[in-house]
Amino acid sequence: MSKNTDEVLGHADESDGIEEYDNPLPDWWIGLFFLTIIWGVWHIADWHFITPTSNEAHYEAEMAAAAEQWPDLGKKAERDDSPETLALGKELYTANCVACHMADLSGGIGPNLKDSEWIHGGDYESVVNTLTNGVAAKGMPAWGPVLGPKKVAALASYVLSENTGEAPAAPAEEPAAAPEGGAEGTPTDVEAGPADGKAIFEKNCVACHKADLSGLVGPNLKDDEWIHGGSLEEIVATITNGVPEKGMISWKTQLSDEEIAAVAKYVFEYED
Amino acid sequence: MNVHVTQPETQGSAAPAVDYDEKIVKQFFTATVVWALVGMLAGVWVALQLAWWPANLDNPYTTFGRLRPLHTNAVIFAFAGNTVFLGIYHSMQRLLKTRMFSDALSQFHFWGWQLIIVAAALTLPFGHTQSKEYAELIWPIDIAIAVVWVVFAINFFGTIAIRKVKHLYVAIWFYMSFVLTVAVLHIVNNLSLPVSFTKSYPIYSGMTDALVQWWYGHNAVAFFLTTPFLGLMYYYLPKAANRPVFSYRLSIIHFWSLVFLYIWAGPHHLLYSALPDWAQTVGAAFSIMLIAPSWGGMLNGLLTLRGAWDRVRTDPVLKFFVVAVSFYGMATFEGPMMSIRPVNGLAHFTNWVVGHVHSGALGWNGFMGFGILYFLAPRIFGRIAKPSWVETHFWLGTIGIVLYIVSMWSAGLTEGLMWRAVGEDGLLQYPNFVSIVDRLNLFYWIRFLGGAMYLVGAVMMAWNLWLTARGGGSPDAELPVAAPAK
Ligand code: HEC
Ligand code: HEM
Ligand code: HEM
Repeated sequence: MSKNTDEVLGHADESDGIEEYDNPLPDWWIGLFFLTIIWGVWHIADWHFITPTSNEAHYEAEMAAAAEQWPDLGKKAERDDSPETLALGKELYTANCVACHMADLSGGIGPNLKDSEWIHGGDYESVVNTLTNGVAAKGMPAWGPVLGPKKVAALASYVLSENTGEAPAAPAEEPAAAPEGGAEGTPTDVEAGPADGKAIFEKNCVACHKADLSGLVGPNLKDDEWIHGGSLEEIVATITNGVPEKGMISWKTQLSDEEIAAVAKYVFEYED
Repeated sequence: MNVHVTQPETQGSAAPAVDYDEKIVKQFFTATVVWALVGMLAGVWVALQLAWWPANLDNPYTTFGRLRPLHTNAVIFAFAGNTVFLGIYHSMQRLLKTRMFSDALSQFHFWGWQLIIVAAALTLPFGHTQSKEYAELIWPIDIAIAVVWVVFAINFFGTIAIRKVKHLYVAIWFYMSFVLTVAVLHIVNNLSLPVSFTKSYPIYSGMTDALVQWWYGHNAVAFFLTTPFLGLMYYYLPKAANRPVFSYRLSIIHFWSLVFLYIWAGPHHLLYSALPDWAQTVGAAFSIMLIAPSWGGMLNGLLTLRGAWDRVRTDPVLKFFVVAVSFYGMATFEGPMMSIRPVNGLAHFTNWVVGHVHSGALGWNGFMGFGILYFLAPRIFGRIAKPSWVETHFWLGTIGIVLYIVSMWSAGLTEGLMWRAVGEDGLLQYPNFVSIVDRLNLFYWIRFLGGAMYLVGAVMMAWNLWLTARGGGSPDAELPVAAPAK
């Protein structure tokens, strides 16, 4: 059965004693080699000449198939201010956008969406475009591939229905009392005033840290792990100055010292 | 019909005594063991970071992006490189019946190479890199590599020139392809214009740069991790098995087909990229044609063991070699499959590629290296301190590889499928990238476990060889490996 001759070539003295047989190549190995050569040649011919399947052709075929299966996907949906659509928009907004734009659209990491100032245009078309494609460089995600045109339309309709066209907040609004000395300007008096820490937290912080303080975009605030220190003073400092490079907002322009002290105390003392 | 040839173990040295340079062999032996530990420790560390990020120690020098190239450079150029040099300096003197051409050049090569590795370890954590994978080192180090390589080449070809035999054994051909091709690859891919002592720009741009890079990258696999190791296999496997090589004819045919086909396969790293379509197709076609030439090497290894399989069961050196050759066969089947565009579309950018890499790296390169170290130890030191540890190392390593590869296949398929999963509404089912990464965590832990076992095996080896060299251990322990040459 075997064609192996197992005869040594006899130059072991020239290879440190290693003998070599000169057995024929196994048939299946030769077969495999020819088969892969044919496969390779056929692959080249097929890919470029027989059923030209260039990368572009592949891409177009897949897109065409998708367009047939989901005809609405590529199209933009019209603005629709019906109560159902606005309710859907609100639901989607709460689920996806509050972390950056705040529940009342007043802005945080992302800009204010209520006022008359638009970076990328405030007409329906432009808002749909911004939502669909995002602004990758500035941190606004692209929602088109995630939510699809229908949901994007509901969101755009919702955002525009909430837009009051109010004048953008003037920089002068910054509390003049913002402590001088910036980062070091931590209020020394951390006695919580009359302000209600829980209410402030729920209005401003839940989007990122969740109502039970377990954390989402921002870290968990009820465990013992503190990135920037867990004493009351340190918490006040973190809230006051923020951690801009990680996305935690500096609240000193939006909350008064008392409010910061109150919300810090709420966080510090929080128990499930 | 079986002509049984017995090769007395001593035959090599029965020839008129040649005064081989054993010092350089011992030096590369030591370097191989040391860098194995360093490179694999770095591998386990980055594996841990992927499972549990605080292991990056929260400082820039030990983050993933800087330790990962340290790992790849340490295992490829330091561990695998020194393994190959060890094998070449040991086997080529014997195969050619002559001392190396020049001891001075040997020493220059050894110390130059170790210095280059130290320079790599000192620059990469500080973020000095060319940002080309497997060619990260900055230009002054690249020039040093070129100089050391040329010195090595002179010494290597000089030794061939002064050889005392006519016939060049197959291992030598494979070594030659390594010495020549790596020089060309290294120089061409690293051509760049320095703008400061630590920074340079490649002379190629855009797609040309990418193509040159992966022509290099792929052939680094071919001519640094494959052909020299095949050369080592052709010397050490028949030596350890004490059997004739299965087929001289097969060795010629698979050698030439392998080196010819490999050079063209680089574009399989750039599928679905901006590289012209036809070049991608050629890369894929040549990769498919590589299956048989690669398996030719595996076959010649495994069939050489005909008549010695009973010894495979008891001799750990042969066990290491058999597993190495088998993983080589597996990786060289998997690779061509991954070169087919639709398959690559699923595998690319996933952990599947990492699994593929390590079935070659841990299985083929690592186990060939370990086998050679254990083969040489009794021949250099006359004994091995803890024979039973060799067996333990083998099993730790084997189970470690399996855990590593299986977890990475699972992770790769999981993420590859999740990335493309589309729901009934035609939208991505997992639009949130982090939710996919989250799913991989378990696989990352399993990989870490496998890698850690592999590392523990290597530490046992290092400890064992240290005791062996120091003369510790139980001197009359029975050798698991064939008795030393006289
Ligand atoms: C991770 C933070 C983040 C999330 C989540 C986010 N946005 Fe934004 N968004 C931004 C940023 C940052 C910008 C500002 C982009 C710029 O400066 O160009 C922005 C800009 C916008 C704009 C354009 C405003 C203008 O002035 O033109 C709209 C509209 C918008 N976001 C709506 C949304 C909606 C609706 C959602 C939820 C589906 C959302 N964003 C979720 C960060 C976010
Ligand atoms: C203890 C054993 C090892 C462990 C735990 C390990 C772990 C790792 C990890 C975690 C990565 C990064 C993967 C990623 O980026 O997702 C990696 C990359 C790599 N390792 Fe290892 N490694 C080990 C041994 C080796 C050996 C011995 C070699 C070579 C001989 C090797 C060659 C490589 C290569 C080439 C890459 C880059 C892969 C790519 O870019 O796809 N490794 N390794
Ligand atoms: C015929 C043999 C082989 C072929 C055709 C082949 C093919 C491939 C392909 C298609 C990829 C994936 C590229 C991607 O999608 O990113 C790849 C990656 C890789 N392979 Fe192989 N492979 C072969 C054998 C081997 C062997 C034996 C080893 C190791 C010793 C190896 C080491 C690697 C490495 C290190 C990478 C990762 C490159 C990177 O950093 O991206 N390959 N190979």
